[in-house]
Amino acid sequence: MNTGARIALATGVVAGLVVVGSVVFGGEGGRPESPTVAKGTRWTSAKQCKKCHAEVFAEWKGSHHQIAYQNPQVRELSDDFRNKECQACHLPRPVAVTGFGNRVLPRMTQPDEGVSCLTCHLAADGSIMGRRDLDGGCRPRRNEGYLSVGMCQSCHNQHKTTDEFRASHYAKNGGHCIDCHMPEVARGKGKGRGHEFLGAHDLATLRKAGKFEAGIEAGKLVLTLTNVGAGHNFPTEERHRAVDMDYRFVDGAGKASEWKRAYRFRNPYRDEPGPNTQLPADQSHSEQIAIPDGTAKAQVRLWYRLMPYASDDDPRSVLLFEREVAVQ
Amino acid sequence: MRFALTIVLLLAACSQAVPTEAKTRALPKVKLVPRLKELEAVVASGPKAPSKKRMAELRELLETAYVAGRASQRFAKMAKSDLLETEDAFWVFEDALEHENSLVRSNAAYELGKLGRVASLVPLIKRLKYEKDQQVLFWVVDALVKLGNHSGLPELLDLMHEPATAQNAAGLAQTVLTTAGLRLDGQATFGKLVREIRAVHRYWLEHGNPEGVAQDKLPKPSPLLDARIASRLVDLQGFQLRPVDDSRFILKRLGTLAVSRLAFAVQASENYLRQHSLEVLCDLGRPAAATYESVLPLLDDPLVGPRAAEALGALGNLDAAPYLLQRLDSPNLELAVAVAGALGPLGAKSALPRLSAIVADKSAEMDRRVYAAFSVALLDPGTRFLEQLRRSGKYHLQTLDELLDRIRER
Repeated sequence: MNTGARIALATGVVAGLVVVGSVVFGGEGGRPESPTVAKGTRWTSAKQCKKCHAEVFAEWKGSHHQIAYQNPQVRELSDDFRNKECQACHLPRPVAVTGFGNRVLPRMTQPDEGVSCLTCHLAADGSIMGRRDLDGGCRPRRNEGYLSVGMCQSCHNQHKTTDEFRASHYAKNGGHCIDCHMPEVARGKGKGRGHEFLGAHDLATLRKAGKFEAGIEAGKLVLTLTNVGAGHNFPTEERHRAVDMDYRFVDGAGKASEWKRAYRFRNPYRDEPGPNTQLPADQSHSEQIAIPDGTAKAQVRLWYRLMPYASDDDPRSVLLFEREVAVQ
Repeated sequence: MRFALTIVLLLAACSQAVPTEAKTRALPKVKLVPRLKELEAVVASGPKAPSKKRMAELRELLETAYVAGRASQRFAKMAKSDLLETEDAFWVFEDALEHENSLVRSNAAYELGKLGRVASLVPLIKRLKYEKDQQVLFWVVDALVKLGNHSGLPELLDLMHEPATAQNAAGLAQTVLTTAGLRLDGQATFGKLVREIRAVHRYWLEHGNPEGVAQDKLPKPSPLLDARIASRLVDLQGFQLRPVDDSRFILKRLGTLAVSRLAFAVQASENYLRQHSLEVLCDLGRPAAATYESVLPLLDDPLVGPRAAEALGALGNLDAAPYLLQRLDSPNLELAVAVAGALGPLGAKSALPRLSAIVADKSAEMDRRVYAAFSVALLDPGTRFLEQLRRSGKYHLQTLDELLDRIRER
């Protein structure tokens, strides 16, 4: 390389650094701006958020969003994600990349983070989205799409849950998925939204969904489940999910019969016969059961099962309610 | 302003004095065009199934012929004969692949193999994905082999280990090997049979055509097959992922037959059609090498760039290496990681020093280091870094296991 070329190269490198620097630090007056504004800043991991949002990070860590790509149950059901269809929502690129309400695409990075802070908060231009414009830290910008049900729809309508929600009175009255799944929590002197994403793995949330009643009418045991709290079907999402109304009778000597299922609320697998019996928002379903002679009382239970064939003593079965009804 | 002008001039001078890699390796321009409507038109103009009335008649014949106890043996034989004489019998056999009676499904697959319509590959491969009955599965694999498709050989290997199907499966395996020009003598062990079938399947994966079948005997595309491939591509754009996954499963198992349509689809302006077509090419690999020119320009596509990188690795054209190397340090981490993971499958030995440097660089993102280590292991066997990382528990275990499995498979 001759001297002229070396000088040109060296000058070019310096000039290049200046140009890159002006892009990274925002240029005007040479004052470094927030990294969010800088094009060169890469938001690549939820760990970057932890520094300022330790409390939120702690809530998310261990949530079913965070473990979405390592949850053993999902791994088993998806044949270790060889069923590629599952990967997009369990290890997604940011929703905004493909657009709110559109399908997400799978990513390769940060597999431990599953559905991470960036999945929801990273805008298509690389900036951060939030509920309001703020000048500090990552400088979140308010974004209507981010605040819409479309944000959840990108993944949660694979199983029609947001369609179910839109058909409910909750949506018609201006409700949002976050009303139940990200309830307001105290944050320092103010309030924020919980990031544990409470749902089918949280007993209290499950119990709010259904009102389970048992009584005797016209000599029959009547069991009724009403979807009073879920803004979508109960159960919703995966076809594995099932809600069972079970009962047994106890005679005067205290001898109990076998537990029997009165009704199962579930959307069957594609190759299983039978209709979708999930219970839409605000609807009820009752079953009447003949009472055998000599019965002193009936015992009834409402189960939520993460897998349809999980037995009562399986940890994937959650007992929501248990009642006893005296039989005259 | 003057300062900026000076910089621009200096940069121009610099680029003249020292030709940069970026300049010599500029990506070909890509022009994304709507493809969905055109594909829908191909579907609409394809051969049509018989009318509902005609299908009902054909179904009646099928039920009489194949549902045990439905008619006397004599009538069943007559119905079968009538059915097989009709030109459009294959439609009802394809339909019957989802019949509730497993014996009917078996017979349908068997007859489709004999009828030899290449378009039947599409419903047969879909059946391969969902069939749980081993006997039916055997006849589906048998039909695929007869239609010149060896994508069912892994299933055949499984069936060779099942008591109910072992004998038939071993017989079909012998046929496959004979066609491939590998005649095993009577003393050949079961283990040898298994090894040879695996080798024939490897040939299929590398070529997308069955081993030992003369060029003029290879399955030829038909208008109906084209319409079915187009229909599967249209499904890729939909919201529900199950049909998307079905289509990916089918298209990647069609070998070379879907390649020209995939080359057409990867340049679609419809994002999901473009993305999932690339995913199919990633799975298809070398048999789709002809799509290289269509894939390369997508490397800088903000949405599908990472999948284009992965596909370029799988397609195996070493001309892609310089373009990939240029993006190994891309600020787009998703792209940089995909590139690091693509150079190994591509066989780009020239990338070894840079990949090794990334693995050794403790300040580099762990995702890049992991995928660089994966590529290094493929180019220069050794999995020390990944094994150590696995033991440390500092990275997603299942991802490491998957990468280690892929290295072992090679």
